[in-house]
Amino acid sequence: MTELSQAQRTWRNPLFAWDSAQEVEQLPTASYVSHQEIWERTRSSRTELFKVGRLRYYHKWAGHGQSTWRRSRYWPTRRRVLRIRGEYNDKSLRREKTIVDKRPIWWVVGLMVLALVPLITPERLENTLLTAGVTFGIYAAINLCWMLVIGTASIFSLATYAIVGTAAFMTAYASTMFGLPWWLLPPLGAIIGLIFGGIIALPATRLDGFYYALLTLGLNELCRVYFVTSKEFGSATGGLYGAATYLPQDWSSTGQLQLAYYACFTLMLLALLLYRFINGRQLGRILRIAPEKREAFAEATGVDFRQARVRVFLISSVGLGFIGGFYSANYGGVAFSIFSFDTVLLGLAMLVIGGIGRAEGAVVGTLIVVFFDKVLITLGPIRLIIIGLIMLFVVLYLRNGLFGIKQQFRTWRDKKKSERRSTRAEKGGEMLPEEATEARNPDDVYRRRYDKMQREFLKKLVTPEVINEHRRAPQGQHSESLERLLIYFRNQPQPDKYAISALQSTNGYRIVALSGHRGVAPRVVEDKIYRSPVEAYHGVFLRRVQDLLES
Amino acid sequence: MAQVKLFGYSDRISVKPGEVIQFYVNADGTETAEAQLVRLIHGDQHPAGPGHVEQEIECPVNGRWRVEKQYTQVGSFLEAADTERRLALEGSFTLFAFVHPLWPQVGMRQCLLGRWDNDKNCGFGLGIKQNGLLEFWVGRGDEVDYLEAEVPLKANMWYFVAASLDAKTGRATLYQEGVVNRYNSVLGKVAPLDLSSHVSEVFRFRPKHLADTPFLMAGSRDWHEKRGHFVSQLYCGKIDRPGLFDRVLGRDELDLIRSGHRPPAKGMLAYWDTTHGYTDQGIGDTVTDVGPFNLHAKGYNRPVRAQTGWNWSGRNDCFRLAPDEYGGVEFHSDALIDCNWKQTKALKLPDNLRSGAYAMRLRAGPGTGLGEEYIPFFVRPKVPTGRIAFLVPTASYLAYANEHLSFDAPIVQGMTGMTPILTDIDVEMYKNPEFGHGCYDSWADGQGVCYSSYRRPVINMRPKYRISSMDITWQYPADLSVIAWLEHHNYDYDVLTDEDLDLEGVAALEPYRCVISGTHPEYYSERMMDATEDYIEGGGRYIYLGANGYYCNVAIRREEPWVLECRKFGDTWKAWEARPGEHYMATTGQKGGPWKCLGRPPQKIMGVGFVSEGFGRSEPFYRMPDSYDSSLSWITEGIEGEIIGDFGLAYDGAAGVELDRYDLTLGTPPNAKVIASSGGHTDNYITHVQVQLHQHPGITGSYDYRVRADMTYFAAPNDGAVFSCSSIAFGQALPVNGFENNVSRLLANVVNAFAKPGPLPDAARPEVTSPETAPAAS
Amino acid sequence: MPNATKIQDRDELFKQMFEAKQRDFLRTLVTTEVAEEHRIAPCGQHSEPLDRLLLYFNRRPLSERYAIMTIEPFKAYRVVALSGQRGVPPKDVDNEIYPSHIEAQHAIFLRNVQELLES
Repeated sequence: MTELSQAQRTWRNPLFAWDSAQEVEQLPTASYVSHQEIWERTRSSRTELFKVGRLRYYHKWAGHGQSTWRRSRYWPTRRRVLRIRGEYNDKSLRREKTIVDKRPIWWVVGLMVLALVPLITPERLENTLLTAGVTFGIYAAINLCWMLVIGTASIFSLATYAIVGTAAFMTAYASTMFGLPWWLLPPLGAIIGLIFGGIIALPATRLDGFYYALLTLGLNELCRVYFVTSKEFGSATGGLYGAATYLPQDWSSTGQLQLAYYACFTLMLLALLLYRFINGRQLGRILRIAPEKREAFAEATGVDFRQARVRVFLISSVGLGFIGGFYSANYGGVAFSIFSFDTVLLGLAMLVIGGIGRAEGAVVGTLIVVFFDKVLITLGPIRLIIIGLIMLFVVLYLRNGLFGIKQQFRTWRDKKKSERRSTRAEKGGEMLPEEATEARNPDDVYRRRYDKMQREFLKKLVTPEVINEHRRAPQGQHSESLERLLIYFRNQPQPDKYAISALQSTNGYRIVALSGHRGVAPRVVEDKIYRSPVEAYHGVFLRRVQDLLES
Repeated sequence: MAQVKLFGYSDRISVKPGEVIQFYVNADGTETAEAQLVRLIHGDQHPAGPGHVEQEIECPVNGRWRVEKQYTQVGSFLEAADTERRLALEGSFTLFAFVHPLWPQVGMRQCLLGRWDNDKNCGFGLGIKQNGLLEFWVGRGDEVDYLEAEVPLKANMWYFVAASLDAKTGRATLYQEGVVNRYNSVLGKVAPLDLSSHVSEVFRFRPKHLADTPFLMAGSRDWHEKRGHFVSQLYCGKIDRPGLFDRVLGRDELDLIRSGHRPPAKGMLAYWDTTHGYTDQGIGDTVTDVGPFNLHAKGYNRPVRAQTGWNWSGRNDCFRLAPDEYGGVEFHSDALIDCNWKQTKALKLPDNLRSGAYAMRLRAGPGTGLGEEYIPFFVRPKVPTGRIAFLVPTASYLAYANEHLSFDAPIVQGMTGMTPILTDIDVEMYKNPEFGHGCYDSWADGQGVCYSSYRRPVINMRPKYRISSMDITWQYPADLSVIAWLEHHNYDYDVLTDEDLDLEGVAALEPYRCVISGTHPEYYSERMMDATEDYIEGGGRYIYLGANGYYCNVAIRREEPWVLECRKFGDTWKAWEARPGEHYMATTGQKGGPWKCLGRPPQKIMGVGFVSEGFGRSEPFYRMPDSYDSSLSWITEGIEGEIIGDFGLAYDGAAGVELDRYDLTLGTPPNAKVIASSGGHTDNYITHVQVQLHQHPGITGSYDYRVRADMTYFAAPNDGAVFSCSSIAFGQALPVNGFENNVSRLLANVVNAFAKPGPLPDAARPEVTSPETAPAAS
Repeated sequence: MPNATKIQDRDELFKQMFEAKQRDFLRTLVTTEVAEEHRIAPCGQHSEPLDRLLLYFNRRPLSERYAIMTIEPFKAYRVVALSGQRGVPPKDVDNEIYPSHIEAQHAIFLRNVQELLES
């Protein structure tokens, strides 16, 4: 159309005929815009729409329906053999069962493979593999105890090998000097571990992580120097040998090796059990609710996390001492290298590679390092560089070791997904197909489309005339443009919808936004104080217009 | 120091001098409060009126009160009267019930049935886990064994659920089957939903029982240092015909119960037949145990009865027709009927107290805002003395009690056309579930609130309060403007309430020559309707000083007059909608809903009835031809010009907020005269759904002539008469300009004429040609 | 209102007064632009003035309302006036034949406007 006539730019008030003092006869208004225009103009989406669908990452088992599902637990605990979640598929309503935690399956498979290793090893590799297996068993056990200290108790102790070594040396000494039988060595070691642990537990509660690590490292070095220079501990022979061993001397070396393998395997199983009982039960639960930053909170709720940490530390020290005793009984003695710095570092590498805070991390980390260190022995010193590189890679790129990869991948994938969406979606716009598949109620998908169209249309109605008209009379008969805007604003959902708060103290009014959630008070959106409700109504209107234009 | 907050309520709302009223006060941040009995005159602080006016009255309990923090048990549940501890089962047992959960995924554990102590972890229970899975548990104190179903319960679907424990083997079995028919659930048969789940597992131990744990349905025993024992794990949903056996019921036996057979007698410990006890007059709060030990269960906070059960077939819409299909007892975790606080003070009203609106005013801390509380009540005379009675619409106060519309109803801004203006007390109420809800709200689970009571702090039944969604006074504080008008003109009036009318019937009104209603007497029980109609027919003179009155049927128990039942549905505007089949009130067995739909439109008694509501803007009345009828000139005597009430505290007009209209088709007596009508209402005023069969464009104020208030007068038999003002804003126009205005003058003309003995002025001259006798021609 | 006392239904009284005022107002809305808008699209979404006019016209008592009579579908139409009485057929108002119902509708609109302005 061409030039607008005066009539078209004027809104005439139907209520003026009633001579009410409150009504004006006519007001300037914006020209008429059809709300259908935007619908007619919009013929396609502004972004390209791709076919969507989600990959099914996990196998979903069918539901039981009418048949009885018999469940079982690990006797005598409350824990179910497998944690299984039953649900309805949101899209299809199909009954689905998901194994929430597959770790028990992996453990069983993994441990069975380990148990079968001696039986399936080819003969020419037997010596190397079983020797490595023995080392693996012992180190895995040590690392599990260490993991309790670092992961569960959050005490950054590097004195693990000091405890193991001291227990090993003392028990070997006791065995060589007093002829103690082999089966007494582990218990004796445990006692030594308890004493040693008791001594170094004291500063653990006082010192910060870094200083404590330094202290324990020093302690480790001290032990090394002490034992290396003590004649009675074999300063001349590079270690103390001749302790009683459980390996029958009349067995063949293969037989001995196999026995040692299974003994160490059992030791690792015991350590796993210990880990499970400490980390998975009350002590572990206490410590999990009190991670470092929230210690004050935990304390306030009456949880004695300090005591819990010390207890975990002592228990694992007992375990380490026991392993030390077993070490002597296994090797018939012990070498000084147990105190050496590279032992500590290799141990640390095992923990870091697997991931702190998980039993499977300790075991698999140990497996990897021992594999490179003991099985690929032919590679020479380069294998240490490989271990170093793996460790570097893990530290640089993985947030929580190998076993954190899954979570890290998911986080990364979700981040990428939302990044991709945000490049294509517009604020307040329609749902993209990939979003729509996640919408619980398809009605929302259409509501978003309608709302977007409506806003596009309403934006055109915002003119100075309309704003002036509202300032004149927030309530009352309005022109079509203003009324359409108001109807839209008023019918919005409750969350973040504006309201006015009457302030008793200042006799003024302030704009707030409703929470839309029962029990949650409205929040203040601006500091401005309005002197009358009418001013506040207009303040709300201006904010709403602003929000509309910005969307 | 914590913010000082005072809230209170009284046990009665209508008291006579010499009677005792008890006050219950909760205090935060203070241990004492200053109490003062006041007589309330005006409660609207609008600057164009007289503001808040009260008179301090001498009374023995004025002065410093010791106040304390009080605790409120919210949520409805049933408690079995198991004094002999028969349900503290040591051996094998089976629990079962039909259930219709409303909010299984609420995120909190809900207990359906059980003798369970949540604090000590002792006993057993069948409930719903945080994520919606049906769950059975047994506690030994230090440890609890749980067994949950495979798939979560779906909301608004009927299930039959059971759990059994075999004491010998320790085997626990959970039984869950859908019992969905074509009518009873939200989804029908075509939705591919497999609701069954049967899970079994061996428990490590048998329950350990504490001596004092009660057997509860829809909740479980809990304990708090300061509160002592209370009930938590409250359930949202219906339970139908639950039972308890002292042996393991097999799958086949449970299947039989599920298909509607009566449970076997062998081993039955309790079987609560929720369909037992219905009469033509409704049902009470006790659920009958038809098992061998009569362990009847008592409802707390009124579980909703008269609700459809699992086997509702859709054919019968009332428990009176098929009680067997009405076994549903509905529970809500935030239901509240009675705060049951410790009594703070009791007052024997002085014998010389004049009838009127009173309140116990309490102040602490700053003495304003949340530090000031009024506990209102009404004093009736020992013997009626006045010629005029002001009938306070307390039933409607209850219906609107603690409404949360500004916060919870997304439509309210569209309806009022206004942005809500909130105050601290509104926010306080929103944050705190212990204020309960009114009949304009829904419980947290989404179902409409059908019970409201005054035995809790009712924050909108207070002077000075302004309804946040509309920024005017509403109900109680608005009605105080009428009291202020009566005071200003020195009328000898008495005050009485809906409660008195419901209890005493027409006898409550008969002593008075003229009765004046409140500004919005919307909710009326049948006894109240009958009494009003009989009063007018018997020669009484009635001024209906408001609009949208006599609109909705409600029910009140005689022995518990502080609770109102209201069911909303059908042909009306409504804040929520009762489910099909649940339209009859448990209190009386009557159908609820609008009186118009029951054959008694308000026009039949008052000459006018609800037509439209708007807000934001009120208009004046314009005199209509009948006002010039010389026989009716006494009504407009002394009024100049044709415009009446172009002012007012409610949006600057006497005609506004809600409007009533004269309508011969709905039963306005054909002799009724229209003195004045309003016009020029904005398009925010929409014609009510009852006055048209279809919605179409053009049914709002600037298009539709029906959007108006008709000031109507008609003579009734035996020198009776009715004058209807037809607008809620009418009462709030009275105080303008120091009560000197034409609305005030008009009302005074009517009151003076009505209160005067003898026939009314218009009856004095006999009409020669009475058009009333001729058939109404158009 | 001279005949007020003769009307038994007070609702009718008010209706007459209301409609008198409404017509006063509606007359101010009649412009050539509104007529043009209607000519282009008699059905569909309209501007407020046209919408108000149409809502008024479409709610007249049936005895005051026009309708379209089909003479030959999609070819010839005529404007008729409804009787509002059962059994009494509509009456032709003129001899004009419109080739489409759109044009017939617009003719009705113009008639209604004419009557509004003349009332």
